[in-house]
Amino acid sequence: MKFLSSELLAKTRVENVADMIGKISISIGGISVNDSGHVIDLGESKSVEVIIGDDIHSVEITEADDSDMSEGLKALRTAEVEAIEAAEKEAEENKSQDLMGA
Amino acid sequence: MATFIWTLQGTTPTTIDATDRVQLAGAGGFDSKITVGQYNDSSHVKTSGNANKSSANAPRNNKFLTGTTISINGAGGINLNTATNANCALLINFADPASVAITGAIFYAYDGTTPATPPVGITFKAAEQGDAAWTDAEGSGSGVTLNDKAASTSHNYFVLISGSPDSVGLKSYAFRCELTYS
Repeated sequence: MKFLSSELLAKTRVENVADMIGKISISIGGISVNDSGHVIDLGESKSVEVIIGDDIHSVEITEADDSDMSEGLKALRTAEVEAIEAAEKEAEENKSQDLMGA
Repeated sequence: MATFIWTLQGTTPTTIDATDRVQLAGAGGFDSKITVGQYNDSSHVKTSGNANKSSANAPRNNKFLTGTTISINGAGGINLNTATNANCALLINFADPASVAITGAIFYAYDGTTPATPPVGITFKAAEQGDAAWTDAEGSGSGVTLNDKAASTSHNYFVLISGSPDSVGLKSYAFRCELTYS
């Protein structure tokens, strides 16, 4: 299952962990993280080791198995689709206006 | 030693061995043609002996519709980002005896000789499961970026693929996956 790094970091319950990204060494399942939007695939694992500075946290995955993506990642992808479609619609409208003005 | 296993998913998976070919074909099934400018309506695995290796496995087909939509097995269009792992035609498994994390993975099609050279005479689209938009994954410089993987001894990449001929005639090209593991 795929998660945003911010979601996995939040599961550590470390206070203000979001503010630490990019300022301290953070590793999730062996992946170095410097971005809250870093997508990390845990596969079928139900736990992952998160290292924040010198502190090691074991994060348990409690999400249902029937989903391939976390809720946060789904929302991000949906927003991306909407942005792409809005840009395409705007480009099409501009194209129509150009043709009318020609 | 690290290993790759490529599979065409379906009701039953079909392993794609080194000498096999993935065939993107038309609505007529195995060996049928795709009209220039249209996209594949069926997918198959063809052996070096020209046999239909996936004939009994009802292989998945991924068809490009628009930049953000897809048809799975001929069904109506859905948003690409809602396609599930099971919907993906390609499953690429990377395994290593040690537990390794993977970064910087990419997937693309190329001319079969030089990874940087796009396939000739075909428009090729690919996406990883969950992606919002298709990528013109033609040549190593344009590969679709695959998500980083947390440490494990086995990693699965679920990839959606679709192709459209730009001109008449058989198109032959190759797929490639590159990654860094540590």
